Amino acid sequence: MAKAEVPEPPPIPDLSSPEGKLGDARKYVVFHKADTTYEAALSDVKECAAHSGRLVQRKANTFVPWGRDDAGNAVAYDGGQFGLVGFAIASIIDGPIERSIRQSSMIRCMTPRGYVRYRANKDQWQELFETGENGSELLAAIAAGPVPPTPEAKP
Amino acid sequence: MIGRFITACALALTLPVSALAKDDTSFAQLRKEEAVTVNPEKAYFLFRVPDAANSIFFLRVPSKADLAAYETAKRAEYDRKKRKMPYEEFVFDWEEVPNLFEVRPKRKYVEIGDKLRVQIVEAPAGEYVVYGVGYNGYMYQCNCMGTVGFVAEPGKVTDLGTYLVSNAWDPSPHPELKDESGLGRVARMDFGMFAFGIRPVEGEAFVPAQLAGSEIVPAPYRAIGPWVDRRRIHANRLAAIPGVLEYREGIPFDPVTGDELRLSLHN
Repeated sequence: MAKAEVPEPPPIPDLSSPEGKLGDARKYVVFHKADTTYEAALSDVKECAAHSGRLVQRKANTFVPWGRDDAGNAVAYDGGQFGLVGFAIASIIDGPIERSIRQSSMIRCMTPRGYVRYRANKDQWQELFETGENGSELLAAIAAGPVPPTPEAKP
Repeated sequence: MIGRFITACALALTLPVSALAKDDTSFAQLRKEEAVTVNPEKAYFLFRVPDAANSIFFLRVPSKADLAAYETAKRAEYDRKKRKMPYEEFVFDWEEVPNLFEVRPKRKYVEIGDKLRVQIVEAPAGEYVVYGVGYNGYMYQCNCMGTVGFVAEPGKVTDLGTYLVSNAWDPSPHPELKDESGLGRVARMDFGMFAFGIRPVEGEAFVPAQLAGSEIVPAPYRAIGPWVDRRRIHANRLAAIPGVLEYREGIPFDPVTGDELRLSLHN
């Protein structure tokens, strides 16, 4: 079967920032992994972004329409998941608390895959990933590009 | 099947498990060292939880008939309410045939030693997924990035081992949670994240006297790949279990089949 073609990565903006303009190191971060490809990074970003939460909790003693496809993969669920959208669309809908929940899951998913977090300018981050239209692609391009110029985000 | 009927400890003063049948969830935590009479049509879970305030959530894998009935009910409710949202986004909590069950920490069967709670659950026989942790009836954190499942056979007690839960931001006292804990403040933003793992039963694990003579089998755990469920606060993963569930560069891996278990993004 022919492999799906991966589009060209979007251009990476200048991510340098004055120290005082950097956002909360837990939330406003980008990822980077040495020696990875844009294609691999995009796959990781999309998988991890799919786990974004929504501050709506499932109740016990209810029914979950759990299913697996023929390959054993999970099939789609009900319940406000907004589909398996990219990073930016979820961000537009989300508020600050959802942002922290989403980033918790994103970081928990990306870090074991070898990605290192780098701090980001808060205003630029919001512009790129909350009002931008290709957040997943941009995150992946940054992850596979040069090491970001901002400090590493420590735990 | 008669041989599987065990009334342990000869405690004639205690109540039979069938009294719990009034619990319409059909998933019942046994309480306070009551006698256990194994119903040959039911499955039983035995597990231990050291000092954790969370509920443990299990999902019973639904049958095709369950799924079809759910879709029928959901469609009827969606049409009745004339929702504007897409059908796929319509949140529908169906309680006719529940399959997501919670084991609450305070409803312990017995507590031993230093806050080691022992739980016994009577459940429908079937295939289960260790789904996540929660509080007071609500899912808090799913194991959506990788977990394990097991088959619980009727008439048997399935020993699930010891369930370990720690704060993910602090180092855990449980070595099984080494890779899931000590994450620092990134795991404690508006809502804290938990590390969750399983120590499968081995050796002389504590078994309540009420189960003496029961057929007790270790849970036949197998790896379950990631899935999407956004109706919770956090998504995390179950800690690796040697020989059952591994992670290779963060991707769940089934060491039995040799398969990498990735999230399907085509849905």
